[in-house]
Amino acid sequence: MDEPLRLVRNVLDKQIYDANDVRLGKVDGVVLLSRQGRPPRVIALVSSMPTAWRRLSPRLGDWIERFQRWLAPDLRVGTRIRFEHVVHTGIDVNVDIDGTKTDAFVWENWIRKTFVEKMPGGTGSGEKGE
Amino acid sequence: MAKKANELRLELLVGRRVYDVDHRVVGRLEEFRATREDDEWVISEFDIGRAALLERLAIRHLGWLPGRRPAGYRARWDQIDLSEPDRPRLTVPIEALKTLRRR
Repeated sequence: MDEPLRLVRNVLDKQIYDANDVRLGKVDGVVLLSRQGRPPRVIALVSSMPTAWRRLSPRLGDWIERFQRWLAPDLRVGTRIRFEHVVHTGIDVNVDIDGTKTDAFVWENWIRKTFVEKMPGGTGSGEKGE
Repeated sequence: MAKKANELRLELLVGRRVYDVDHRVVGRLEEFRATREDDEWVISEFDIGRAALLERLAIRHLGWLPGRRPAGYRARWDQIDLSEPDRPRLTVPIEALKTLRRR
């Protein structure tokens, strides 16, 4: 039988890389499903700011979530990746999905469109001479 | 992100005190060990206590643990009741748990 996977040591707080080796964020939480008479099932990884803050203070996590919804009501608050997509754990967590097809970058894109692109020089790539 | 009724959050369970059947503290939940069953991952065991913490932090070789009590326990999934996530408790006497080896 394979060695059990240690979820706290090898999954929680680790960097998530997608199938193209692009960073999607950290594993801020792990969702388990409690079942009657059967062991809890590991459902998904969660990467979201409220989840991370909720570990420090549930009230602070709720406040961050409300603040995000106030800022951008249409955006999803976090990213959930089904645990079946995890292909490697340890120093990092690798998943077999394309990160661009998840919600991992919605807040980066929102900040770029809402603020960065409206600043002088904000539309270039940042290279010298542009 | 909406949370379903039967969902548990591992990140909120880590570090919770586990109580025995007599409401005494056994130790804190430090590690969740998952195994693959067919196409799903399930929690098979929980590690509780100081030894589990040192192992999780990969500093067990530095860990001198004072006292006579066992430094940690390993509980099967059905030996802990997580129906109250704020207060996990054993479903069996503490003697039924596997003791984690001291260094």
